[in-house]
Amino acid sequence: MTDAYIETTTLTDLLLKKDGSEKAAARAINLFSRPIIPQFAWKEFKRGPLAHFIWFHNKLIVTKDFGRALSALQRLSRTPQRYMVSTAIQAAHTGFTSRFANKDLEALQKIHGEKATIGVIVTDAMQLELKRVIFQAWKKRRTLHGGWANKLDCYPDFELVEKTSLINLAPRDCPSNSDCCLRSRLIRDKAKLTAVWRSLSSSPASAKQEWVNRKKVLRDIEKRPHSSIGPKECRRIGDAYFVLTCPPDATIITTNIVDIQPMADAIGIAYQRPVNLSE
Amino acid sequence: VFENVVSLDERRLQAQPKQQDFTPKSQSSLELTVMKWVPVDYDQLVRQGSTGQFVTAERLYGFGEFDQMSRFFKVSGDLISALSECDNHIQQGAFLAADDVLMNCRPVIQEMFMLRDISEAVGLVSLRCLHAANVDAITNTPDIASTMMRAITRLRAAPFMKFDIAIELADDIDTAAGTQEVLPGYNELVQLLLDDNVLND
Repeated sequence: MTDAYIETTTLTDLLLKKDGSEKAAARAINLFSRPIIPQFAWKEFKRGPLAHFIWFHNKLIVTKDFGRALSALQRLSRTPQRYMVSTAIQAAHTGFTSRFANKDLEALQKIHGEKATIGVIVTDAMQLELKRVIFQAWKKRRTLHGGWANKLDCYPDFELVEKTSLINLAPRDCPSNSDCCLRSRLIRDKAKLTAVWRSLSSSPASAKQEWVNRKKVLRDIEKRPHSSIGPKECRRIGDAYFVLTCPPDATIITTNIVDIQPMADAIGIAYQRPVNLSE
Repeated sequence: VFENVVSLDERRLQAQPKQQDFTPKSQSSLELTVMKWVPVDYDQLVRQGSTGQFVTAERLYGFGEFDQMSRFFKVSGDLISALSECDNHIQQGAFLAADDVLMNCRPVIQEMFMLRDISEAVGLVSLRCLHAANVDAITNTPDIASTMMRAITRLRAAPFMKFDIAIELADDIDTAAGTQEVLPGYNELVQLLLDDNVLND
């Protein structure tokens, strides 16, 4: 196998997960002689998964309480998962309690006070670990598999900044007045562009809001190739970017088969789940 | 001779209750250059404890027995000695003795983790040591003691090191431990954070 075109979900598995998905992703990528990570994947990664990690890290700093930070996360979710929140709290408390014998904790509490209680230990440990994962992940954009490919001219790449212990990921997007550089790239092969947006209409999931938005943007580019598109439209292109810019003999490595499949099938692009490749 | 490059910020100094006589001349953060503890003219060194932009090692030690910084120097010193002993046992093939010493390092590492307010580097490195000291069989991880010792030595020399460097030390410890043990609750948290339903447009 030659080229692997790495999509955002695989990048996320590789950099943020520690449940075995990261190993499956690494094994799958290693099967290819040339892994390609487009800068678009890093852009989506920063705006999505990494932003969520940073938000939670900052919430831990502000609330100083793992449970309260999780409750805040639950309230921001469209479908609150109370069971998962309590599982996370339980797992953290059980894990750390097993590392500190009760009498050790009591002795430490006499000297260090509240800092030696399990609640504070869990909160601080999680904050430190998240900070490590966040900075480590973002730093890798310049080195992982040779650094990013397909540079986005309008996307400002910046290091993460820390202000009063909080991590700031700004800028999240390209400048609001910028003309997205993807327009000129996507319009080069009009036949492919048409096939891809058409595939979004013929699939059973075509009513999905994400697909409706994507289809509209792709159609607009096709109809009005000289009109500029902004950061919002760029975000909505999303998965279509990977399908439309994937080299002909490359394979898209993604865990998001549902969204990639109809578009990739329409123009004959190969795609694989990391777990299928690494088995 | 104790020689090092350290950066202290004002808040940390203000947080030291026993250091009321220490008033930095500059209200901005203090950038400390080189500390040398020269035992020749001890009294003079104490008198010159603060010279505006300069803090001597004596000052750091002089915070008092129960001060975090002096505790850190004591605990990290103890840990380095214990890890050195553990490494010697490993080199001699005395794995049972090595394992015993490593197990007995745990309370010391726990104590060091309690000093995490000193800096995030102290917190992160001690946290990874705490996990690494959980290895089941030390025969599978022969570099564990020497790697932890190197990390703690660097941390002791520069407790306010950049977080990036602390990450590298933490990575070294994880590699030596043979497995990157996941923080309890981390995977559950990730599942929640990466859920499609978390609002993000």
